Amino acid sequence: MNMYKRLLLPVALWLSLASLMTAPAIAQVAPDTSNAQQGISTRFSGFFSIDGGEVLSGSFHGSMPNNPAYSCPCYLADWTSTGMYSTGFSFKPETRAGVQADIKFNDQVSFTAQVTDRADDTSPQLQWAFLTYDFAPNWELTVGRKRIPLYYYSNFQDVGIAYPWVTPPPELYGWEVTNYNGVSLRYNAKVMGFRTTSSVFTGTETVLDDAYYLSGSTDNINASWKNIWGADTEWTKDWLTMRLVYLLANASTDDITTGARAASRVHSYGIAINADFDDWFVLSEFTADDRSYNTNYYVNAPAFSVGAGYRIGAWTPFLNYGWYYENTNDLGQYPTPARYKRTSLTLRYDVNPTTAFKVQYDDYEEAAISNLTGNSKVFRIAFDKTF
Amino acid sequence: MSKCAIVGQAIFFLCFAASLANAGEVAVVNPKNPISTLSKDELADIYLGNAKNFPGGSSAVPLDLPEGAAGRQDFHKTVTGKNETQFKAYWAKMVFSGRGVPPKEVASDAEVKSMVAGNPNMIGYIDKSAVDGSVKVVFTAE
Repeated sequence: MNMYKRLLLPVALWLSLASLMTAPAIAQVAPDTSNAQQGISTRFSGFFSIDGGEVLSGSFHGSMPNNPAYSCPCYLADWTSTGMYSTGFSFKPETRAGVQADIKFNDQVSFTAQVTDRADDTSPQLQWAFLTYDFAPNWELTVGRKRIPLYYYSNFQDVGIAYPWVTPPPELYGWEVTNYNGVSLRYNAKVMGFRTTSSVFTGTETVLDDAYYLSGSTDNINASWKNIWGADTEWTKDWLTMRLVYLLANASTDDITTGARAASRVHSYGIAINADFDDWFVLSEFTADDRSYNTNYYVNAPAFSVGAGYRIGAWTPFLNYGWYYENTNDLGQYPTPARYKRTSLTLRYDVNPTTAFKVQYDDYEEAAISNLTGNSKVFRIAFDKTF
Repeated sequence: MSKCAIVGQAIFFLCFAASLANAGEVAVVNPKNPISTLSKDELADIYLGNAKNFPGGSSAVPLDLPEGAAGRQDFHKTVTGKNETQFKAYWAKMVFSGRGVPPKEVASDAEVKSMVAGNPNMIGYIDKSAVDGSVKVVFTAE
């Protein structure tokens, strides 16, 4: 019972903060700053999610063996920045905000920039900064910095209002590198009654002092993906959306603390199938991330997530099952493959088309060979807003 | 109408008059635009950012009425098939994926008409009763 008492204060604080932010005076701030008189128009927009939560119970107690800064029982909700919940209610692991500018220079050329900031991160991150050139009808060329569209929600994975969970399933989302600097080409077409959009992209990315590794090490580790090549295609018709993606990259890590280096070839592919009827909807995604290391071992990581929700007016209960299972041919070099499954139940309430509240319960369970954080049960709340 | 009908008779007549005035939404373009008709799908593609051009090539700039306007609800129900929540969610996904910006919102039918009349790239929707020679109808919502 004690844990519920401890939750009362933070939940009350969060609710009052959230209600303040839904107050009409703030909600009615007009986002449209278009300046139609001049040729150049600029549109500013943004989003934030105030997420809080705590681990209700867990199987592992004490400091994490490889990084004593984290204490367990714990739950790793966001891999990319090591957003880790523990006992004791916290808003730090996943609370985030982003602002975006879309500048249209003329009918063919525009520029998009997005900066996000996270409560668990010290500095803002540039997620988007690219020029778009619509060089022919249905064709689009972009140059600059973008998200790697590895998964269905990758491009907008920080935008809480856009999905039924508090955050997308960690079985899939959250690698050491999530952006690329390069070029992409997109083509939109109608095929057999489907609206389709397809792209190819290529680029590179280096992340210094990558927060992804914090759960497993206190070392300063730089990660880089070079020669990223990928393609995706998304098909939509009535209630059905399907997406395929394939990606290749040369990944490497430099441990600045120890001087250790590792390099691997990444092959990644994924399929997402979503069905959305008026009330019912089903979201499913399967991916496989295969890495062949230059020291003659591989790690294959198939993962999937499947969930179903039902809209009852402004309320949306959503049940999700996620699964992640690493295989390796060399337990000597890779002694603890991560293997876990997770079931979550989310209840979302839409205040209006740009504001939502969520409550989520996660039951996370590791396989015996895996020892990331131990099993845990987690309670989270979220307030999502776009403007 | 159904909501109107359950209240008092005086209000019923007001509502009846209002429903007569609201004869349905039509999509309009500049008379110089070579397009003569658009299908529902072509129009939806423009309002959902899937097509940045009119069929035939010239760039298309869609105009929307503000949230809560009756014409906006009718138009989107017919053309994009999305209610306000679905439309906002769709555009949140598009905008924050760096795929474009939602249609520009203008205050009234009159403003839609004057902007479309002044720019061959613009397309908007207005109540059928507001159509005049300054714009050309390319789609009628039934």
